[in-house]
Amino acid sequence: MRPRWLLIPVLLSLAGIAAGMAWVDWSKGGAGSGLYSREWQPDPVQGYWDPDRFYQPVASVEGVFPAAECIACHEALTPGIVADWRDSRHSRPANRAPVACPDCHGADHRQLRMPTPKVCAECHAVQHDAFQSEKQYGFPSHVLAMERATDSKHFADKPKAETTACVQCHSVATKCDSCHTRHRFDAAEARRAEACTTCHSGPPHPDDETYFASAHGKRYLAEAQKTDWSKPLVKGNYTVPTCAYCHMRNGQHVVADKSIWQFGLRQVNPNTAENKVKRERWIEVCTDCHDEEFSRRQLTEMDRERELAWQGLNRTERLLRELRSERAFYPAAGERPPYPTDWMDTWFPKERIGFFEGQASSFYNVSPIERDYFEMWYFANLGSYKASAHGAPALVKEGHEALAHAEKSIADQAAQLRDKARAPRPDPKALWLGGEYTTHNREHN
Amino acid sequence: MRHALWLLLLVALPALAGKTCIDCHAGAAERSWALSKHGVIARIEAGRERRRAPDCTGCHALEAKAPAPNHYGRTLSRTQGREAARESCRACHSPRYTTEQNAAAARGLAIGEMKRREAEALLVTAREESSGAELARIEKLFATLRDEDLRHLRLGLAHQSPDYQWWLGQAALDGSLLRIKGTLGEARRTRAMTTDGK
Repeated sequence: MRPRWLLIPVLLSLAGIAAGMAWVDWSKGGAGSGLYSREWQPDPVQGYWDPDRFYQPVASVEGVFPAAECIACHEALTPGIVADWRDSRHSRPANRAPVACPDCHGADHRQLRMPTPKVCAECHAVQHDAFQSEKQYGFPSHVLAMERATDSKHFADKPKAETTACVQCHSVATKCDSCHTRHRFDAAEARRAEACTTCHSGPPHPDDETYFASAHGKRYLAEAQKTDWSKPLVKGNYTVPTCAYCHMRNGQHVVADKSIWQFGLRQVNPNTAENKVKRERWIEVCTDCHDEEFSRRQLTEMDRERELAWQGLNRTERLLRELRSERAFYPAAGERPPYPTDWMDTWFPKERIGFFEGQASSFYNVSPIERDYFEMWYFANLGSYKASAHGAPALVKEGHEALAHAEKSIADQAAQLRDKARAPRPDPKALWLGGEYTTHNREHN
Repeated sequence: MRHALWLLLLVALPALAGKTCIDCHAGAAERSWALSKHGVIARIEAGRERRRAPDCTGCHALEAKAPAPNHYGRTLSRTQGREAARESCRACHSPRYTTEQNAAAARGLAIGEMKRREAEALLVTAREESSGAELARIEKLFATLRDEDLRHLRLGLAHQSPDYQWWLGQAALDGSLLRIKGTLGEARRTRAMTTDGK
């Protein structure tokens, strides 16, 4: 017979797990959404970006309207969207009645809804199911994009007037019209390379710049206007690949199934059993046009580029961790505003260095050397990765020059911080804890 | 003054003939539009008879088919511009949607202005207590914050480009602001070392 005291740790563990699950449920029950939902209030526009959670129908128009009446009114009020709908397949589908306003928005004007993926799934179940299946790959993925945004410390912390910018792109998880713009909802539009550029552009993910600089992109620009984009995304239909052609194989609504390098955000072993499967998926795509050996060589080149980028990033990250151990940061974590969402920050202030410590939120209220590392990791590194993935060698070179420059600049700053480590240290709190925006940020989230 | 501007316009118009907006407004103004959903649709559907999404003249020259600077003036006005451009928005978007999007843009810009004012207060302090290379660096950082980061935010909000609103706008403002603080703080530290050394 086993001693009864062995049950104590088991019971405590079970109680801890139950308490943890209850806490997560409780934390998601606030006015906002996500893990920090109790920490923030949504702006009115949040309803347009995450309609399932936040959209409120307008109360000023009363009545239950059939499609013909919706169209009659909106032809005068918002003729552009009615014209778009008339141009769409929804207005004249084969073998069924038109899909009109009430089918997606409801008929009762005081109970109108903004369509969510669940609404579109009533007819487009195959696409919706594929989209939902992305959850198995975790983040980065389209389907988890909104959760990723709202579970970020900086999203919960910053004024919502500011983070509205974030959810415009992260709403790819919560509405289908990010890619299929309303009210035409044209698959041909989403097949075009430009369709992705509203979100896949800018310093951390210059997909547009790197693709259009590649041989694929240059050929696309030359041929796009004379190409028939109504054809399915399968081998033989197109002479040049676009974002959707490569990342959504055969038009499948899954972009994360070939994600080997995880967006370039963290160092990975590209040859794990799982990644070997993903590599074969890439080879299958590339060999639509290229021979197999060439395709494998491109992937190996990417491995080398990533390895080189991470050598520099790891050296710099080690240096910053050393500075943290030496208490050389100025200001240190306890001398600048903590995230209001994180009580641990208040009790045990700690500079966040690296992906796993949540450096993605460390781009404000940090010392310049930490921001420089953020930009090295998030801008120069991801820019190089995108250039490498999209086949833009000039931009790979540019990216690695930026990485080398950042590494040297950070090393120089680190040397200066060390030189001053034993010097008098004026209290930096007044400079970092005050100021109009800093105070507003502390009080509004 | 007003007559002089009209005269200038009459002289300038022939020179502008045949030019597109982008010939003069390349860079952030054009790119913030091109990356927006409006810009994406307009680029994809270039050449189609029915314009589904607005290009430059779609919002900035509402009542005129030919370039009409008085209309540009109205829609580009910082005080009246958003309201004036709403005439174009209403072809596709509901009054509530445009009102809420405009209000959100105003709130976003107010945040950017707060960051600028916080930086400006630091610049005033720096002018009082610093000089030489440190002050020059702070002056340069402030100029970047005001003339690039804040401009990008404004363009991102006006043209509905998330990238210009966030990475090139708000997050860039954060970077410039913390670097001003960092430079000012290091200058104080260096002075404290010098004083201590004496």
